[in-house]
Amino acid sequence: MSSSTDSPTLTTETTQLSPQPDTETAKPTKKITLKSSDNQIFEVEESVAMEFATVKSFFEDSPSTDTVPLPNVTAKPLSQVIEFCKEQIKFKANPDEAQKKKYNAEFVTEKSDKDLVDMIPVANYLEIKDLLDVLNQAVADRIENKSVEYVRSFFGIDNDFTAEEEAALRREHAWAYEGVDED
Amino acid sequence: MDLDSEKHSKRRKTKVEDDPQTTGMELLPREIAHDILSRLPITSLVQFKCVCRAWRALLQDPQLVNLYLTFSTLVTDQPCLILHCDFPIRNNLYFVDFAAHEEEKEKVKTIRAPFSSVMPEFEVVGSCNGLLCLSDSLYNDSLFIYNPFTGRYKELPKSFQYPDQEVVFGFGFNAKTKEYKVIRIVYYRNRHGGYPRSRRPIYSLSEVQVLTLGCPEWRSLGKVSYRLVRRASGALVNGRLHWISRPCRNKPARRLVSFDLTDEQFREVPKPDCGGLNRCTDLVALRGCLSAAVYCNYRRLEIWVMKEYNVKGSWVKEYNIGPYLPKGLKQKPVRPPKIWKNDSSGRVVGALCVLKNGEILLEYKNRALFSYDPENGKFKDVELKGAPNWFQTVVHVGSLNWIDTPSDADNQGSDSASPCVS
Repeated sequence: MSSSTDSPTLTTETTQLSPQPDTETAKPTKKITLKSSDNQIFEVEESVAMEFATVKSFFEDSPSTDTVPLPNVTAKPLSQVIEFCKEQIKFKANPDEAQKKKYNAEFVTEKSDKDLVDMIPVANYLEIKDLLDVLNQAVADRIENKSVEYVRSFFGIDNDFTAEEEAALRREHAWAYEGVDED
Repeated sequence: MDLDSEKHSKRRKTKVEDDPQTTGMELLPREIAHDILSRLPITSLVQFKCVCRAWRALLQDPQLVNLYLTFSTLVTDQPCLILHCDFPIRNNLYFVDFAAHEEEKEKVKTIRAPFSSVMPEFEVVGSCNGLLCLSDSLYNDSLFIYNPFTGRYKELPKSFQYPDQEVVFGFGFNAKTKEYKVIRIVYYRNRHGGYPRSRRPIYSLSEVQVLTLGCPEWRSLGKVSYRLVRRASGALVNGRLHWISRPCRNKPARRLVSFDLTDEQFREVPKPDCGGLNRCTDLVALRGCLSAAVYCNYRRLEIWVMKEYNVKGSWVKEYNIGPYLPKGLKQKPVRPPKIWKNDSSGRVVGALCVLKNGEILLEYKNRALFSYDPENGKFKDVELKGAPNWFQTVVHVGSLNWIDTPSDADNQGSDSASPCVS
């Protein structure tokens, strides 16, 4: 076959294309200041701040600033989000899926319901996809198969149905309310 | 609306303005609320409609409905089974959600059939994208589309009926055109035709009727040369429904016949090398592949899987399952000989789906479910708490899906399941 004579030349060409990685020497770690809506100051390493897509694009637009105001974010959830991202940086440098999974699971199990719910808008605002995924799953796990009353208190929701309306809704799908998990 | 409830809702409104913290998930962007809800089992979704008005609206949002459907159709290894029971008298539907309770006894819940007054006895024609297609088993002329998890149902237009007929049904979704189609393959005979002395009536004539959901009328595609064996659902794979044909004079070997929902043509599909399809009791979609369950000697069940659609060489004997009798079914109970008209004679074990842990879920004589682990060859009974004694199992996808056709938009608020006042 004629094609077989072509193939050796192809392979030699590809070997020449081996990439030359430019070895980045360790830069001095730059700190970035984040300011929460309740005026608390957080100093974080640049690498951690760059995990926040919102902060990253802020810097791309105005690179000269040194303090990033976060008007939608309060201190407590922000500190927890920073804690999470610091760990994720370590996993990025040193990938260990099992370890990462374990950390993520522990991160959410030790948080209160309120902490989880409060962190979600922060993770969303800062566009931290991994964290958002972990948090959404954690919330889903905590409310799945639970009673309606449990969900209301979980999110602090007031029931705005009249008693008759609620009774009608429950009658409609009576089977669904059997055998929910204990609160 | 009575005065009381109006007062209530007014009070509620002012409260929201005063204290936005109490709104919980409403504060989250809609996509996030959707993302969280789409991770929940279907029973939770149905229940959480009465958390508050905002949640009810959230759960009826077509975006969430689609997201949830995409999620749950991808996860075929955590099925939601619908059990249909028509014995002794009343027709009932039950369901078991494998996604909701893992490693536990499966709880069986009864679903109210809101159409029982118009159609007291029915058969499940098929399940697709969370919708069931049901046919009237008393008169055979009504068809309903029903979502057991929203309670919404809709009667389909009537098709032409022959006085003496046998019908093979199919129900499927065409992903290309986003249309649902119901197909009726009708075999019939003229009143004075056929062979009166033969035990089985011979229906020498045929007509294929198709209804695209949302259209007012059935279309006739003319006759079909294959005599198809009636099954509960014509396994939907690759946009085609599948059946096995009966042997007949000019085609002595059984064929694997498909119906393409796009071009509405019948085509043959290569058969597995399982020694003919005479003992093939089931066609199912396992992990998205067309599969054939073949009942062999010594009560052995082989399951052949076509790994690559329409490629003869890709048929593999994936499971070779020895005889098994689920516990508690040792003695033979009394049962009327023909419960389901579409129940194939001689079918003992039916294949349902592959579970998350790699085990295959099987149904035993319409009475019990068990799973088989191909790794170690072990069997496991699936304990169904509260299941009827006899049931037909339908692999379903729990969803809040509904058929979006222009005609439905008009009566969206007036259908039977819509909540009272708002």
